[in-house]
Amino acid sequence: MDSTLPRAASAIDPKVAARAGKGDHLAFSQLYDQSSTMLFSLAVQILGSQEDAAEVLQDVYADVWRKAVRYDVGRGTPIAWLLTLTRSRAIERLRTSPPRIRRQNVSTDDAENGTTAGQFESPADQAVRTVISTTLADLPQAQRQALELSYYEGLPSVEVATRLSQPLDTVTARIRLGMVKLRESLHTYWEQDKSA
Amino acid sequence: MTHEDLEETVPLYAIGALEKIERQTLEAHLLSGCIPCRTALKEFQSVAISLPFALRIIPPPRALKAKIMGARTQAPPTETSAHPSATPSLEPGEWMRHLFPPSSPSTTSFGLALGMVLVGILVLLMFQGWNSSPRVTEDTRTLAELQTQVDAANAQLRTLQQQLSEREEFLTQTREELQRRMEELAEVKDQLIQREAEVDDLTAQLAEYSGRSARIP
Repeated sequence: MDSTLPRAASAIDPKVAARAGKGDHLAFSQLYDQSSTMLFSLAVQILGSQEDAAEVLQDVYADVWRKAVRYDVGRGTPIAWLLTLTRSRAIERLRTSPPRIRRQNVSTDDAENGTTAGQFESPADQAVRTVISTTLADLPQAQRQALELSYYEGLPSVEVATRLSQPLDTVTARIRLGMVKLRESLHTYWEQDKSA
Repeated sequence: MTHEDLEETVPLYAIGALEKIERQTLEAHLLSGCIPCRTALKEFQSVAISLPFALRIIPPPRALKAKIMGARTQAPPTETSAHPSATPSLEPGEWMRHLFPPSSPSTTSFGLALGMVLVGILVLLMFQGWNSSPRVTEDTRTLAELQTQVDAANAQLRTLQQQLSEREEFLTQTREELQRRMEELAEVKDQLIQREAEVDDLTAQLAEYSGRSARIP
């Protein structure tokens, strides 16, 4: 394996995550290196502020180190665990923050235009990125918008409907359809990846 | 609500788009052991977790790692118990403990300590705010009265303590005096016994002397 390539956030060794929570300095450093860019990007997307995102990351990693949150190998991948923690903290902060630092809508349309993606991303993460980005780009804008409001702002479908001035049934149908299409794309990718 | 209705809410649950009641209804259904819904939820959870991979990549500031590592070395790890997340979206219930990533705790021992400090600061601020409020005159007067009562009680306590101390001193003196009198009494008794012995001696001598006089023709 080429050591100059960034290590995939999607391929963090569960043992590394477990050791990081047990006070292993090297494991903690490795966990940070593999996950921080992904977590920071998510926190910035939710909060619209790099300063706030940095504070959220400090909280998340501090909790991991202090064992306030504990990674259990049997309960999912490390990056899924860390993304869930980061998203929860960022949304909590978004809800309690004053309006001045409310996020600006940053569309994932920008994903394809990211000039630094290759520099900071492993091939494995890039593959997942391509699948998700392509599928999202193929979704009707209304579906993508409803999905993003739910996921990145933590809004229930009722509030999404209010925000978009659309009937609730329409919004829930859009979210459901968008999720189903993403699942199909990921299924196809996982099957190809397995057989490769 | 039919099974199909519930199944349709699974993707919404996974992305955190359900209201509390809908969420609880689905969780109850999943708890009842519906395997297809559990499987579907696991897949949709994976979808939701994959969404951030499509985001524009923003690397964190270089200084952030040093800051986090530094804070980590200052605060050694401590064992705390896990708590369920306060954020409902994407939050797996207790029933999903072995299916999905763990959730974030809302409180920690560190959080508790920090909370206590914050509460302390809040109390201090409230006290200051209270001092500057229009009620300050009345409250200050009440406080002064209470302080006076406390001072009076303290003075009374000091007087009682002093009286007690005096009583103890008097008792000690009395005990010493009694001891001295007992010693004198014992001495007098000794002298009395000695005198009695002398009288017995003299009586014996007198008797002897009287006997000799009677034998002289």
